[in-house]
Amino acid sequence: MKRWFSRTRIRHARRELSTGASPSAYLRLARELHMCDELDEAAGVCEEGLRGYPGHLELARLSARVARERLHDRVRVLREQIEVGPRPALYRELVDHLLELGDMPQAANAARRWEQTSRDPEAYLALARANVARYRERSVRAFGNEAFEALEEARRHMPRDSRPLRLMQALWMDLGMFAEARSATAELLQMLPGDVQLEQDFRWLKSQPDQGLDSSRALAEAESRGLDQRASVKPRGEQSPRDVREELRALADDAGVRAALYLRGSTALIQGPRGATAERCARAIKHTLQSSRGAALRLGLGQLESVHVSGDFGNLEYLCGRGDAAALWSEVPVNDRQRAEMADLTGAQVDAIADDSLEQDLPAEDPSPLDQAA
Amino acid sequence: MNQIFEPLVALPGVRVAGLITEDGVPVTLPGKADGPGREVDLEAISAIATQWLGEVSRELGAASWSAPHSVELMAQHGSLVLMAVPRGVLLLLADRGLSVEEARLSLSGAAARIQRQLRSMSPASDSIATSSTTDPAPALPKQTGDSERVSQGESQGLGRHTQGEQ
Repeated sequence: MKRWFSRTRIRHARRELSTGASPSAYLRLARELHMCDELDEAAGVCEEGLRGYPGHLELARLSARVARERLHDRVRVLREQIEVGPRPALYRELVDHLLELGDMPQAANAARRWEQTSRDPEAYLALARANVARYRERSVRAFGNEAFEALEEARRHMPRDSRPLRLMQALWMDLGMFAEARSATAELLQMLPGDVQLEQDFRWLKSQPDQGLDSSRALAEAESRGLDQRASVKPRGEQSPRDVREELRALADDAGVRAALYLRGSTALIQGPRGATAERCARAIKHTLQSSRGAALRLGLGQLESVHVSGDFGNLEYLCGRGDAAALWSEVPVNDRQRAEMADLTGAQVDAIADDSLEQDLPAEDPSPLDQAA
Repeated sequence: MNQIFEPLVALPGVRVAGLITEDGVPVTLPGKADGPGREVDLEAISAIATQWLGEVSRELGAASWSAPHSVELMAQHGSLVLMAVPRGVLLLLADRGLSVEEARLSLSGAAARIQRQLRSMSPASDSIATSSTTDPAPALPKQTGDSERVSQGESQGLGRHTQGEQ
């Protein structure tokens, strides 16, 4: 009987969508399909809805939830298949899905089982990826050491493969071990000459002062402050350089917005305030973001995604990407469209710019107001 | 006071909800164990939460912004919401399942109930919003009952700005 009612509701929702497409119609149909476990079709409806209405928050949320449930189903199926007849392709897909679901311990277990059953070099890389992901989630020193050990092991088994070395280079960059990162980048450029991302990394690393950190000290600092997430972790082709300033300017022009910022490493792009006010604002926002990252890790909540602060000054909202963040200071509550634009900004590469009224290059050793007060 | 927070803690996804002092001392903080190895360390959570909001208040103060009324943090595995009430801070720590909007709404409701309870207990508590510039606040809350801890007159902003920092 319950199923009959569900089918009826799905029929009505389909009819409603066919007579007039709207975000609520897409949402209604996708929800009914989701409740009936028709996950493939629910995902298709969400995708279609988001193509027509990009940035619609509820559709995006439902789409993400459906995607997760599909992944969980697929993980279950893969585990059953591995029990019956294990093979590398199944293990590889299982590890990928578990990492995507954020289940690092299970991903590491699966990779370890793969390595034990087949001695496939890819298994060592999978184990290294799982350990690195676990370290990025919680910057605990012991996890960092295990991540580096797993990466070394992967490199021993696949010396001519660039992937383990890329992961090490990214970790070294995030830990501030620039000398090691520079050598790794040079070695990667020999393997992959002409790689645009690597060339950019090398130019950036050349400009960084050698901080003289060894791995113990670097891991200890990351444990208390969180990883800086300087390195781009997206595969090639997913990022394209664009002028972030124009997007910030559009945000800053909205009614009630006092400042729009983009932060990446020690650089902050800011639109809105000027001069000393811009610098104070950017510095305060950057330090607040760092404190929040540290708090999220200490509370065991994993990587920071967003922060909202409200007070007499208005509203301050951050959205965090993999290696960057967007922030908005507004006198009025931040709306969904602004959040979607901020989410779109994160993950962008920043063009080199010279306008120092817009860019605040905050030095790496910039003391926080806390240190200054002390 | 517990009856204000127990319905919050009972919500799916909520791990801890309650009242702490600005110094990070739990006043009433019902939490729930999620299973072996996931017991909640209330004092640690209170300390980390107040350390965070203290840092945020100081960092924003350096830009001449006043102390915030509320701060919310959403991360991979859950969220933390802190909200100012007289002489204390409301805290809600939740798993991923609870959205920040729901957390904020629940905590706003609790804040309103606390305010009503204080008003019904002491008419003089209407002056809570003004900051005391004559008698400094005691470092630790008094032991004699929850209502007295939150009825001392003090600014409603989260964190403290000492003179010269604003």
